[in-house]
Amino acid sequence: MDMPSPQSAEVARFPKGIWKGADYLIHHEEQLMESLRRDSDLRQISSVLLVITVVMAALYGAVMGATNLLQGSALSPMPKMAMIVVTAVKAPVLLLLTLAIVVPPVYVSNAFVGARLSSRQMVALLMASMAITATVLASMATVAFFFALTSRSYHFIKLLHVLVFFYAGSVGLGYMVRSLRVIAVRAEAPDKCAAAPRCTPRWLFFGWVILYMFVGTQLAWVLRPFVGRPTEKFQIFRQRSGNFYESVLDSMESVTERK
Amino acid sequence: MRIWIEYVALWWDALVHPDRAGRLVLDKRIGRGFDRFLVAGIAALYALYGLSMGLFRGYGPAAVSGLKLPFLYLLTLAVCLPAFYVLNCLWGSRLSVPECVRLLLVAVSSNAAALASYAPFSFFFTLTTSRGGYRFLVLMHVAVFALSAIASVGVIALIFRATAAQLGRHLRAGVVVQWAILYAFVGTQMSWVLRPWVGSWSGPYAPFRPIGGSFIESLYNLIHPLFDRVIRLLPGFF
Repeated sequence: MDMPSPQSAEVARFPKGIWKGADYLIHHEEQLMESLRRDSDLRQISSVLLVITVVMAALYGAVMGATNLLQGSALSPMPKMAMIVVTAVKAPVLLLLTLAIVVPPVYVSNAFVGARLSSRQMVALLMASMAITATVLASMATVAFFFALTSRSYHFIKLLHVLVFFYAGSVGLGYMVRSLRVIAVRAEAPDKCAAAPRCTPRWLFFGWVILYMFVGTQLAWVLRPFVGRPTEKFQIFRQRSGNFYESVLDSMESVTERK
Repeated sequence: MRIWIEYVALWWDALVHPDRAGRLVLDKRIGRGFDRFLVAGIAALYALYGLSMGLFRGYGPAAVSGLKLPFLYLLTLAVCLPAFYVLNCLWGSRLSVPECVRLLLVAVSSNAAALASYAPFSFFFTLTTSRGGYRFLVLMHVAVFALSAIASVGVIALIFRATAAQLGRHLRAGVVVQWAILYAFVGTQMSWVLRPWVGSWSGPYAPFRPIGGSFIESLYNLIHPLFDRVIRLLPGFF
């Protein structure tokens, strides 16, 4: 990765408008990191990132909720339309609640052994990685739309969404890992008496990934249905039963054991 | 007319010298006309091969397959474009949307050229295969598509790298692989939606079939019995 020197680096200036903002986010990694490092304007940047996360996740959620409509399943039209709205609300809630649950342990564990960042910097960094996740999700919306339009299988679509979320989540976490490393290296100015810059160790990242996945999957399970099983009545939330992992295995079985 | 000949020269030069392709993608002076030329060229090359696929069932189906094949690739490109664009910004060369479109069109055109080069081969086999040879022809086409994909992926990777180098950025190794996986995933489903391509003689011809199943499922259903038999045979070896 090309790293501009601290002198030449500029701070991030998000343009107005949601699309331009998201475009700026994916284009200007270095500037965003510089803002994070200098702790400048982070309150404003975080609010922009929040809006990007909500809109992008809602976009993907709407496509996810539209599955029944696109597949032409046996449900009546009203629940199909309602599902679009419900899932468009649920998807941002899923991402933001995951973030809220994950922030405290990540901040504390990083403060103990990782890079020296303030809580505001850490929140902004996690917001940025979540906004990246949401943007990648939204970029996959056309793919999900196409598969919903051309497939009749509920389980296949469900697995597809699990895969897309997994992919988007790993891109977001990868972004966080890269940024944290760069910020940690740059944060320690040479005139300070601090010895070597303290980077966040690799095993800690690994722990965070597991934490994210664990929280995210459980939350997704609590908030289901997202797609809506065509044989069931419309409902905003389902009864608590089973768990995420069993359900994925069930869907894999029903995709592979047909006929 | 002269400008089209220039475009052909530019295009072929980019395919033969992928290291120069970066300039072609990024050059602002080459207008939207070149993109239109690329779309037309891609459509023509794929249509040529598509004709040979449908010819198995007669001239009408040949025309239908010839019209459908360009859409297979161009629609797949359209479905994947947002994901490609975001990936390119996060991990790749940070092209703008029009540059990204041109890069992908150049990439797809290399595959179109590779596939069209097999058109005479395919015409020959289609014309010399009897009506019972449906399965043979389908397998042959799958093999040709795979061969042309392999032939073009190397060129595409070089073009991507050249474009990134032109911008002074290093292309992360996984980007091209991820694009290829996504493109193949969507493309196979698109080919499933747009089937039939060859058309067997076992029933009346229809330009489209009802939507149902998916490519992955049908592939699994094809492989699954074979796999089971292999598994059942295994104990015999020990």
